[in-house]
Amino acid sequence: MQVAQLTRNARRSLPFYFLLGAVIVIFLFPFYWGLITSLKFEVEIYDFSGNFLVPKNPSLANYMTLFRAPNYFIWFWNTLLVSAVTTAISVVISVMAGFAIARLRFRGAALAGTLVFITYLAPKNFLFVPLAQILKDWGLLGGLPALMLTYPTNLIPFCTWLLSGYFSNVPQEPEECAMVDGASRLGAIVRITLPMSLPGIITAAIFSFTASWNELLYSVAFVNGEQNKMLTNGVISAFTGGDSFAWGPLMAAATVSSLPVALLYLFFTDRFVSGITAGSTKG
Amino acid sequence: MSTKDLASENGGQTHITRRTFLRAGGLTMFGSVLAACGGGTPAVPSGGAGAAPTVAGAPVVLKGATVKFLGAPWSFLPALDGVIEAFANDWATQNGVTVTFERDAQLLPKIQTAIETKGGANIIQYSSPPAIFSKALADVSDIAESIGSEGGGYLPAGPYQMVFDGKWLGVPIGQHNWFINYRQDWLKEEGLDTFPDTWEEALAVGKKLKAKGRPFGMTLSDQAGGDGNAVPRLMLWAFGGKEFNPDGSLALDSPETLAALEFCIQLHNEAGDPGEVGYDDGANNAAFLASKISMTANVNTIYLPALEKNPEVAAGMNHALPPQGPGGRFGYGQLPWWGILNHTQGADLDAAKDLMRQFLSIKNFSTFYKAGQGYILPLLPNYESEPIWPADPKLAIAKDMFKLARPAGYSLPNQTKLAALMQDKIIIGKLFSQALSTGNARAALDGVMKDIADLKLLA
Repeated sequence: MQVAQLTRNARRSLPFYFLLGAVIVIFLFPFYWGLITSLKFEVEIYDFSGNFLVPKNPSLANYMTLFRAPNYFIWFWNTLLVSAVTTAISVVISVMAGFAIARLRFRGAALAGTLVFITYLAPKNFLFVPLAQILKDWGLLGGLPALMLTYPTNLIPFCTWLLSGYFSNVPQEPEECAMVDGASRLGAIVRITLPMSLPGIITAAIFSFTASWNELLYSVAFVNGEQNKMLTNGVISAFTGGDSFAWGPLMAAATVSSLPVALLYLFFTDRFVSGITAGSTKG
Repeated sequence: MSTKDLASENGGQTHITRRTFLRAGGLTMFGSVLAACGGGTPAVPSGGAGAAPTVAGAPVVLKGATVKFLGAPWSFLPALDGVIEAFANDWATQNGVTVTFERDAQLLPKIQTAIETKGGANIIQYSSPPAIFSKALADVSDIAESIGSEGGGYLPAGPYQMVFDGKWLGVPIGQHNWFINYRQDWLKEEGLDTFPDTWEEALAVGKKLKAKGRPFGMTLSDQAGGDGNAVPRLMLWAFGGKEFNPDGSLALDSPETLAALEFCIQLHNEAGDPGEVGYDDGANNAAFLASKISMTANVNTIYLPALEKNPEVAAGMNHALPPQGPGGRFGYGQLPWWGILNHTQGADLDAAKDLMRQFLSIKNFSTFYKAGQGYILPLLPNYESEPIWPADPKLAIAKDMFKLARPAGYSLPNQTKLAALMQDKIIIGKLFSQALSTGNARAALDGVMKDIADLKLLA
């Protein structure tokens, strides 16, 4: 009887797992393709005979080529630094703005929230020229601080919108209790509300970090010099030329570059999931 | 577990917690932010690999001037960057001028930023027609005319692409030219030593090669900004077709264009790779290097990498002039150029002009062509007798090729906005791609003529 029940359940679950498997394959295949390309020699990359999904003579030569690129580690560090600083700036400002929109019942709060989000929809292609002019006037055009200041202009609107939604779903009573017990509003926010909102804040931080890590347009337009390049821009410049693409080193760069973001997700997956699903269920 | 420890010990193993991960990262970042805010590292001119050509003396007034150079890196052949930088650094030292180099593959946003902020670059190196920056470029007619006069007068592609409203907006530094890359070893199996001289003969051997799984792979596609503009035009011109008459009227809808399309439909069906109608700029390179196709039209960006990384393909391949059709034999020239942004003034402008004038003169610029091994060919006839041509016999056709070049928009005397838009939107590539995909030349031509009518509204 139990065996029959198990078989029935397995049959019922089969389509679900089949679909799940297909989705996983579709999503992971590009990463797999990048990984195996990074392990192949140039000749093998273009050889589609036999089982080309497994490298015939796996080699780390492309990684060596990548690491020997004169400024690779500088680009990597620049990207890590700018992404971290940008994330910190964006999250701090977004927490304050999101809290104000969600909790401080001032006139026009809802409109302010909508307007903040609308600014996120402005295409970067329209914004980079006026931003460049501002940076030049401030004497910041050309160096990494230019990116640390301009990336948040794109990230803060989205994070504010995300966090204002999150703060709306965090119970207000504990914060009020703390204030009754003598805490200032700031103290109540820092000691009560923020710890309760950690999943939302982590979600905003991961979004900011990932978006900064992958950004290309501003990093091209606003910084000068090989020493100031970000990974996205530096690697493309180093390994493409006209119609000639060094796919091996490019895929090695893509693989290595995805590691910090993957690490972030690995450390914060549970928080991230609860952050993005906040408010999705009742009770 | 102590939260003050950077790592928590557990059973002899070290575990990194979220807190320690963040703390360790944060400390490192903080120090670096301080360093970064101390000012960006300025672009440092790097020494070139190539031997510096001779630098002639320049007026003393250049002393103290600054010239900022902005261009894409010649990543495919870094020696070309080396030649430029070696000369410029030498020239700068002799004249007391500061020269900086900024190189980026994503060039357009950088040029736009330089134009809008009136800084960041004085000389730009670019490949698309300079007319798109017409309001931001200084008149360099004096340099172009002196260089042109020294070289025996520019081939028509030069003034066509560079002259706008009667002024030279840029000085062409040469032309990329598409020649036939073919597998000579496979052709020998079919009884031919070299690639056929006419398209009809090419079709005949192509049928045999395709039957053996070795099709041609021409980029008859609108998915490639370089090849997609070049290769379809090679076919169009070989059959007598053209986009414009010299008076500016459209000439595309013609029996010659239809003949070119009909031939290419046959060539595609009987000898071509089915995927060629959707090739991007790198697809034909990849297919050739994978030995999936026996012929393609390309510059030397297949052969030179193959010499190093795919020696079997390099040994089996060779190059040939594009075959001739009823309309003749032509090449397509894509012109990289140097221009000066018009916010450059005073001594900086004098210095930028002097650098261009000296470097682009035959005695100095020959080094650049020689380093290119046919990747970039001259636009001046007098280079024919200069020792710039590739020593490798498989690239020897470069010398025969360089005079065959026609520009996009032929036979206009100077490029118009409509011609530039047709090039930008890869309209001729779209024409061939649609004709080959559907097998209906007339319908494809009608469709593209409607597209051109729409573009006229923008022109």
